[in-house]
Amino acid sequence: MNKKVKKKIRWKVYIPLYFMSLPALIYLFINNLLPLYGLQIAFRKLDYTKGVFNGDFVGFDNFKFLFATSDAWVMTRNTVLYNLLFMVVGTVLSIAVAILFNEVRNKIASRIYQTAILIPYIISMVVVSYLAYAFLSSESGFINNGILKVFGKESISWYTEAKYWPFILLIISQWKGLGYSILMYLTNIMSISTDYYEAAAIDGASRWKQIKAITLPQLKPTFMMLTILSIGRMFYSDFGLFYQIPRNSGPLYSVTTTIDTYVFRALMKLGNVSMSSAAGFYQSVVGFILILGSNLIIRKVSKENAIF
Amino acid sequence: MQKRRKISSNRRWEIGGNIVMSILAICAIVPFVLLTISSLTSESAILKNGYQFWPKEWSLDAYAYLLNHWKSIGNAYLISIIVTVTGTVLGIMIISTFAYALSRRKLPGRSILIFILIFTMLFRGGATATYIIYSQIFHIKDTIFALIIPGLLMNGFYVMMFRTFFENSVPGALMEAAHIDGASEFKLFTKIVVPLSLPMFATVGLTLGLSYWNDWTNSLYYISAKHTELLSIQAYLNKVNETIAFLANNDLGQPVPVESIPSMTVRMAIGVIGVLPIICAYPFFQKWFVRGITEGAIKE
Amino acid sequence: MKRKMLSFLLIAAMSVSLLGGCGNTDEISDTANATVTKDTTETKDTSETEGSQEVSNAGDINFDEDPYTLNVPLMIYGGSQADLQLVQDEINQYILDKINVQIELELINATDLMNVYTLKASSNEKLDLIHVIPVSNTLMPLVTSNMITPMDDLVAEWGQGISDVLGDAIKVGMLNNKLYTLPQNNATIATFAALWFNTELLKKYGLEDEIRNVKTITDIEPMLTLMKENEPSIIPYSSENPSMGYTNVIKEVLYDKLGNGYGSIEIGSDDTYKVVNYYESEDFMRKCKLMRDWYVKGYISKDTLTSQETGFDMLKAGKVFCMIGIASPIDENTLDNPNSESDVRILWKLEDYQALLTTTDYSHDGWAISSSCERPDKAMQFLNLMYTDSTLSTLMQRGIEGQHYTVTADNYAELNREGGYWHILGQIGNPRLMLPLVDSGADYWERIEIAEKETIFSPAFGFMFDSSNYANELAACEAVYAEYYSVIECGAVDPEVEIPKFLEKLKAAGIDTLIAAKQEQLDAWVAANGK
Repeated sequence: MNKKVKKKIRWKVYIPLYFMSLPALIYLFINNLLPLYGLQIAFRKLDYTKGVFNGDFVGFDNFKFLFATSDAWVMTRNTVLYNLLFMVVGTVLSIAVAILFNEVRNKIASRIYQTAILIPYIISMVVVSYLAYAFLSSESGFINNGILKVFGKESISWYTEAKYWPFILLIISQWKGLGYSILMYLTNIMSISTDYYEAAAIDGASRWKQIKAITLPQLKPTFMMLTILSIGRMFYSDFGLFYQIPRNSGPLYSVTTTIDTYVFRALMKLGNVSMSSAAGFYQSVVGFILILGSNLIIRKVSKENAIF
Repeated sequence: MQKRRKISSNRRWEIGGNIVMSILAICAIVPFVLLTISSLTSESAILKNGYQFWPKEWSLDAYAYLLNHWKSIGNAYLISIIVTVTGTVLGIMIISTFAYALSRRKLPGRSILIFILIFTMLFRGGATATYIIYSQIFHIKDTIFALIIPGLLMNGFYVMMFRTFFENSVPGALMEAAHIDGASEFKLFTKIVVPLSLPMFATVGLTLGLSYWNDWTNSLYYISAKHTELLSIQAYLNKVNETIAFLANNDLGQPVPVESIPSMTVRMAIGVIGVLPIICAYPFFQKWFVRGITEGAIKE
Repeated sequence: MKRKMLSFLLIAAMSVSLLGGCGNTDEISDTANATVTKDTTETKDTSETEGSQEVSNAGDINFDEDPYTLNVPLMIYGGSQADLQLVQDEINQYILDKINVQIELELINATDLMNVYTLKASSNEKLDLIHVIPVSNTLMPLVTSNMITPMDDLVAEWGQGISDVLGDAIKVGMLNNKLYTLPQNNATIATFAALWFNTELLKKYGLEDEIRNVKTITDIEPMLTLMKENEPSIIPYSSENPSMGYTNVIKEVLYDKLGNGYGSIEIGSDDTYKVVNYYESEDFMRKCKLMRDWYVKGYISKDTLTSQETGFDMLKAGKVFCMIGIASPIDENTLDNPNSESDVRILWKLEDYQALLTTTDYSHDGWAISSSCERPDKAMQFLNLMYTDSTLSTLMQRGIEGQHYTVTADNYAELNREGGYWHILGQIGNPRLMLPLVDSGADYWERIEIAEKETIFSPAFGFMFDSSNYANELAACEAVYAEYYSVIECGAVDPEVEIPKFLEKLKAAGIDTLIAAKQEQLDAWVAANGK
């Protein structure tokens, strides 16, 4: 008798929660789950007389072009390496800058800083490519004309020298993303109760010690979540960054081609929806495996920080 | 003795923080300044001398062009604003409520729901299938809903962000106390969790708003060529860029419609006005940020 | 979001592809064809078919059934056409009695073309006619995915007018011996690469006479040196856009690139139909070396590949001295024959340069019928009327007389740019049945005729390569091409070093497979066509 009563109470408590989840779940269903049947395009031969989803089943034929040439491995290498680079540098920078930002006491100053560093995030990548050109153009760019010439150095043809571009892309991606990525850490930092810091200060800890002992550990959940999600996106890239910024310059391909840009260029002349579908599927599968994998690992290390 | 050391250590960090932030702020703004100045430069000066911080020839031509087209641009602005505000408000409501439910660790089936969420974040059915569903089943093609609903309204990433915040930054003790007092989950959410999470709402609100503001793919798929009244600012700019690229790459042997190709300076100007509203709206978000923190501290 | 963008970009970008001269010259009329009388009076009244060739099988059309509504795409640049409904009504009024068809014109942005077709085909929305632009890139995907149907039977039954008008040229729309697209009835002349000079600079240095002596590309070198020395901020030599290239004006052995350039045939060689790799040729190396020389000397801008301004804009602004651009064989050197633009730029054709008419050059625009069209016969009847009726052609391409264009005293058409219907992209209707445009110059038809007589046809004119089984190799070659070609051809790198690398990578990408396949298909085509 008691057991039955207990069960009833439990569900009653949770029904409101399910109710609150309903709009989101409905949306997920319509927007994400229903269209999943479209994934099969990747495995079928495209034939409009049969209907786009009823073409002949061809297994992995549409995937072959992703591995066919040595270029295919270059693109995968680039995608993964850039993501790792951005992840490591980005995380260190975000945390460091978030902490430093928090040290600013002046309210007006901090508001100004925050607005300023967010501006790059708001500008669309197309406009950023114009700006990059304004700096990097061989003949009229600011760097060549305004800096190098002034110091008597020779101009560099930026758009044809591949070796500079990992740095250039790193700088641009961080410039653009920093303002936003610190927001998450900031939100976290600002919610840490100041009591902890006062207590530590009374104990005689220096600011650096305070940060190390209080702030950093508190950031762990956010850090873990963001890292796992970044890992899941390891095979994706920001198309605007890798395609528009280098202005589609041939000599840079070896360092600027990612999976997304490679697929775009290769298919620009062929227009095969099945192949593009296959590429997307490939990225999804790898990303999925990576997230599951990293989540499992985190689970072993500190269970409460795992995503599921 | 100890006090002095403590103060100077804090002070050093404060000064250091200010210096670093100033440098970063300047680096962040400089290109935007260049953008604005370029939009105020005359076209021929750009072609002859390239981009400069102090152009040889100033000109308001770009903005004059925009004014001439104020009808289409003003309309685009209106659409952008309506879509952004509606989408953001609706989106935040859906996202936060879901995230809250997921943050209650005892919820049966929680793991399954999270798994579904992550799965949908990674696996997409593809543009074609999505298009068929929205246009054939729900008939939202060429309506304003097509700019609000597909793809943007809820993003699993934001759900996860909220969830993490709810779990870790809202004190469990507070929740338990209210729970024992007989508060329902909904009351818990609205009366306690939301006020404490204002910084998060501000952050996600900003990001979500931005994704709506900058979106042009929904227009591309769902708005047909004759419904130019449903174009948002970014869709408009994107169309301009595409047309330019198209014309630059194809010689069509026909007279080119000059009015379809705004010059470089006009494109810069459009870039500027595309960014301004967000910059103006941002201080309001900041207020919530600060409010959220002070309130949280007091409650503590 | 990212995936969506990817698929969109992939599809949409196909329409932003290399056209290289769509609808090369403007509308032209064929005076030799005596049965065509120019329709100079207004067509507001739906009276007789004056000025149109009789639709020879009108009698077979069934007028007892309800008229069929045909969806017809209309490509534009963006911005709506205010008078669209007006023109559509006018057209519908005109054609109802002739073929029992009503049309609905659908505006599509040029940049979204393939995207729109794909979405419509995938979601079973009404898709009847497909305007294929450009045929060279877009036809293959349409055929391999069965989005369009073969039209041989349809033309035989309903398209007699079309076959009469196009004659042999209809073969250009055939792939694997099936007719998939109807090419436009353009003049059979190939476009030219010619030189454009900035007038102001020309006059400033008094170079008129020197230009008159320019017969070949190297003749302009002294002028380029002059510019370089005296005008440091000006770019001496540039191209209209990077995809056009820098070397097209150099006298060369002519090659027909057979569509994609991976396997070409040399015109005038002993073995006419031998498929070779053009990039291995001496010609290619020679041209690139010249450009390299000029690049190193500073005649070509180091930013040339990444500039965001079109070549013409820069020429007009006085930033560029000499530009290589497209011209038609009937265009005249404007140094001695000034036109409205002579204050800004001068056109100069090089005597020693010849243009070749290939399949790709001719078949820019094509009209195809979607496989999901319910009444392909009706579609073909409409197309047939469009190719043979000057009223319909003019209505669709230009709009209504008086409102959207006016006719001048010497029977030229002047477009009203403020009218609510203009600048429809691509060729609709039959250009030879329409009045030439005012900017085309005097004695238009005579010049066209002369140019046509002087046209060099490629021996492979009419051949199209079926790449459906070689998608992987093609994709790989395209990637290599994109990485190396532009930068070699404009002289930014040393061709002696880079061309071998380029060739090696092409080999790795499978160019030999493509060449072998092309040879095989070409041989079969030659046999089938009795050459």
